[in-house]
Amino acid sequence: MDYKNVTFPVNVFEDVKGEYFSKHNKKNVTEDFVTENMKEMGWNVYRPFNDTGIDLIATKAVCKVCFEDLYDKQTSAKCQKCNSDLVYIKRFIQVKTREIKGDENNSSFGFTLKSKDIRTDPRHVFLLYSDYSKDFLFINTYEYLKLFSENENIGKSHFSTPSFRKGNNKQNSLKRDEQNKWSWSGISFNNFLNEIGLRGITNPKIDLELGSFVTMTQQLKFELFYNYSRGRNDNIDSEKEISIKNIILENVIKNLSINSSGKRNIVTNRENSRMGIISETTDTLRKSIEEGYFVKFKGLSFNEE
Amino acid sequence: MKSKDIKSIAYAFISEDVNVYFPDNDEDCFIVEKLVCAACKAFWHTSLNECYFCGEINYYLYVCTSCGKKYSITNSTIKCSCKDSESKLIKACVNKECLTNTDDVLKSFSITEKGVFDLDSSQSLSQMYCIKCGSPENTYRSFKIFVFNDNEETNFKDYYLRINSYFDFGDILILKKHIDINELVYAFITELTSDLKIDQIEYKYSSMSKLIKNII
Repeated sequence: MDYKNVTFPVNVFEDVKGEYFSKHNKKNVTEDFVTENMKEMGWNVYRPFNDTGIDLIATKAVCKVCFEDLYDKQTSAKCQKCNSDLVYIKRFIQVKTREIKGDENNSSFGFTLKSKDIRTDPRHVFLLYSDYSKDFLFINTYEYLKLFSENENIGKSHFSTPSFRKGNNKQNSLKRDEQNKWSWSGISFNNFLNEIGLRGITNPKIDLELGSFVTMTQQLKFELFYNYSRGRNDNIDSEKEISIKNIILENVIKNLSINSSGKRNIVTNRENSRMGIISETTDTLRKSIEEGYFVKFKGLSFNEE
Repeated sequence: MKSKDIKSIAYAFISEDVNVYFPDNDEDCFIVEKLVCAACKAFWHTSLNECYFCGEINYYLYVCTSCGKKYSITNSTIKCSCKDSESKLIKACVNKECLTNTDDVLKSFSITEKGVFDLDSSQSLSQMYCIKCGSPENTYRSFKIFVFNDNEETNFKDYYLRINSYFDFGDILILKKHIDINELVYAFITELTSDLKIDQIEYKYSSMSKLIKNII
C-alpha cells in the first residue's frame, strides 16, 4: 500500500539549537522533542509525574489494516478509510539521547542498557535519539532481543559477558555512516530508523497477540541472559565454562518446572532459603532488613505465606 | 496545573508504588502504570536483584565465608565471631545449594567479587522470576484514571460529555465524596454511560488505598 511521504522527526523547536544544551541540561528538552514529534503524528503522550524509569507513554487508536499511514488520525469507532476495527495501542518509551561521537563519515552512538531495562512486555520501546543527526531509532524489547538472538556475533558480546551484569555495560557498536545508514557490527538498524521505525512500533499485532509476544520475548531474554560466558579476568578455563553453562541451563529448566506441591521449583527453593534465614537470624536483624530494604519491594517479606 | 483532586488521587497511587503519567494535552485524566507478573499480577521489581546462577533473591546480608553466619550490611566494619583467619564477610547468595556455595571455582570467584550481591559483582541480574508464583513473564498493567468529585461537580452529564471521547475500554472513573469534613468515601466504575445514576452509586471504599488494591 502507498502512503504519503512522511518527514519524521521534524525540528519542532526552531528557536533553539540542540548543541546549545549540554548533557547536564538536555534531558527535558530531548524528551519534549520526542513528545512533540509523536504528537505531530497523532499520538497522545503522557509524561511521568514520579520517577518511573519510563520517559513517556504514547497511545494511539490505529486501524488494524492501514496502521502504516502515519498521518492517519482516527477519530471514529471504525477506520475512516477502510471501515476496519481500530486498536488502541500503548507504548512505554525509554529515551536514550546521545550525541554521536566520531567524524561525519563514521560515528558511533554509545548507550547503556542494564538487565533491569529488559522487560518481557514488547510494548516497551527503546528510543535511541541521536540529537546530532536528529535521528530516532525505535526498537521494542522483542525486536531488540530477536536481533541479538539471530545474530550470534553481536548477541554474545552484548548479553553473555559479565559486563552486561556488571557496571554500566556501555555499548559503542551502533554506528552511523555518511549515507545515514545505521548498523551494529554489520547488521542494519535502518528498519528502526525514523518514519520506518515509527511504522514498526505502530503495528498493532503485538497488542492483539500480547500474551504470545510476552512469552516469546521472555524466551529470547532467558536464552540470551543465561548464555553464560566467563569474564577475561575470571580464573575459569573453557572446559569449566561449558560445565557452568550447562548447570545454569539445567537450573533454569528446574526453576520453571512445577513440583509435586503444585508450585514452580524457584518458589519452593526461595521458601526454603527464607525459612533458613528466619532460623539463622534474629528478629531485630530481619526487622531491619524489612524496614531498610524490603520496604521498596511491595509483596516481599519474611512473613509471607 | 492539574486540579487538586486529580493530583490528590495521583499521589494516592504513587503511595501504593504505582507510577503516574499526566497527559501532554488537555485531557482531564492521568495514566497509571505498573510492571506486574503476567501470571499472578504481583508487582515486578526491576531494582530487586537475583543470583545469576540459581535465581535466589537478595536478602541484603553479609555472610561469613568460613562459617556461614549472617550479619547486617549496615555495619561494614564487623568481623565474624568465628574468628577464622580465612573469614570474610561478603554479600553472598543465601541458597546453600547455589553453585557459588558448592562449586570451589565459582565460590572462590564469588569471594573475589565480594559476593553475588555486591554492587560491582557480575553475578546478579534484575528480577527474572515472580516473587509470588515464579513466572518468568512480566507485563505492564496500565489504564487511564478519571476523577469525579461528587461534592463539587454537580452535573454528571456535563462531565460525561467532556471525557467520553477519550474514556477507553479498561479505563476507570473514580468517584469521591465527603460524607463529613474529615471523612471521604470512594467508588469506581469501568463502564461509562450518559445515563449513569450517580446518586445510586454505592461508595464502598473508605480509603483510596483499599480502592487501589482492588483495581491494580
